[in-house]
Amino acid sequence: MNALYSLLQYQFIQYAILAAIFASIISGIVGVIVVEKKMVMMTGGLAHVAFAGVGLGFFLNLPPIYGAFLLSLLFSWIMMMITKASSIQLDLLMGIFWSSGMALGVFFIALTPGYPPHLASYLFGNILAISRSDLNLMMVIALFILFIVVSCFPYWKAFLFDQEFTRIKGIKTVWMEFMLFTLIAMAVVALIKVTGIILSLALLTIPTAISAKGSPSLGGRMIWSAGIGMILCWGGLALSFLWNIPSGATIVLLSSGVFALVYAVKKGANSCNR
Amino acid sequence: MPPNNPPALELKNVSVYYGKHCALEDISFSLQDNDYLGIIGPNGGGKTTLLKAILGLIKLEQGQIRIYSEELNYQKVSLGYVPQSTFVERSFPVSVLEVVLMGLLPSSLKMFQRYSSQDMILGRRLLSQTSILHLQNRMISELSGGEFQKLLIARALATNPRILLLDEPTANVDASSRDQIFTLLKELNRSMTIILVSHDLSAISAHVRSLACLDRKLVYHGSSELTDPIVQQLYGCPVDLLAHGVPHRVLKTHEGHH
Repeated sequence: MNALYSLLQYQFIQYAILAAIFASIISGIVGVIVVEKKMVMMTGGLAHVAFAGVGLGFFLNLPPIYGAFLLSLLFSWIMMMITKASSIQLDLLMGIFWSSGMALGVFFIALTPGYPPHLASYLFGNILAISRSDLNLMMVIALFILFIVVSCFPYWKAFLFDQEFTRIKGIKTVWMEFMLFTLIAMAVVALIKVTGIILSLALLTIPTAISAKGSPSLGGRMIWSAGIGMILCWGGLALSFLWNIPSGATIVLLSSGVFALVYAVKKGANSCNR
Repeated sequence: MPPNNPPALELKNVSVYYGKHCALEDISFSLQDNDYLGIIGPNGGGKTTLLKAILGLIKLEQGQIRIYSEELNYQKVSLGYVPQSTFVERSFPVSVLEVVLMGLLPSSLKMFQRYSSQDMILGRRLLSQTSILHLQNRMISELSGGEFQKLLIARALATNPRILLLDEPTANVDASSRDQIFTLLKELNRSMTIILVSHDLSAISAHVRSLACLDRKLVYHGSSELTDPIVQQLYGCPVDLLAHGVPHRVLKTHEGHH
């Protein structure tokens, strides 16, 4: 207990614990939305586009996370417009964005003078190396997402369930779609420092998948998903600290392990009942 | 109905294209208030596209659509839409009552909107009208095809529509639910105009007041009594028609390709 207490005195541990809270609120809400709206691949594409922003940040000598923030917002709106205006297969488009985003990041970094920067924490996350400004950004994003989704919750529910019907009711679905893409872009950026670009899909999908077994309602799933995400992030954080392995990968592996376990137990319980 | 009443719906030279593919070509017809129109035609004949065009969900290549002699305005005239049930996500985590209440959402975005007790009463009344009130707390994933279809109708009714548009409302529905739905529509037709799309001739020709036959073009529009030449033109093959009022049957006497 004393060891734990003294650990909590460290600022980087405090930051990591707070970051886990914000990350799980964000991934809980946005994860459920993305899964229900079948936009997981789009989200993955956007996360990788964020890497172009990280590269741009290094190139322009800005904080890379702000570069990622700008470019993923911009590209989320571009993606929205392309999906609305053309009949290109969404899958295909994501494949293009996914790889081109990464390539663009590499390109910017190559152009940056001096030694190549350390990219591992952006690619795979490092919750133990979160700075004050990263934390501030995550907090603002978490509060923004929470406010937008909670304040208009019945509208989101209708929109996610049946967009056409909601539009015919005269509700401004164009605005909601714009907000949806914006929220996803923000969520992806907020998760970069926790799980990294490559692993961010894990936090957006695994707690959601587990929560689907816990709660039948949309709001319930979001709360469950956030709670489960928080436990997984803290658990992963503890394990990574104990064994001195990268936190992002630990959180992801713990999450998928728990998911497999829950799935197996549920499956086992179902077949026993039969 | 006095003849100088404006038509409920008027289409003039409406064409819709998907890329280069023409889905609807030069459609013109009008519909009187309180009419009950059945639209039939082969699969891929543009029936759903026509509904979506009327609803303003699809851009017209040319032509215009007027609803009570005005351009489509969601705030002014409510159009009730019952989409094809297979197009709606059945696994979505909402309850039956929640889905009906969606029809009662105010059209202007209000923050921290909550459903009033009046909304609840109205929602439950619509569920009872569609005879699924006992399922109000069920999740939609637990409903049968017929129950889900009735729920979609209840949600459309919640918008208090003047025109109700239904896309294949009897496609995934058992026989008794189908009868209930047609009885309900007949009742509703007293106070609203109804447009019903189906690929199934027999399902609707006994119930509707007028028929339109659609295969990219409007092949026929008029009374619900079909004659051989019209059906032959529509389906491109001889089909057997029985007397009106008895369910029609399309027999397989096709020879060669359509």
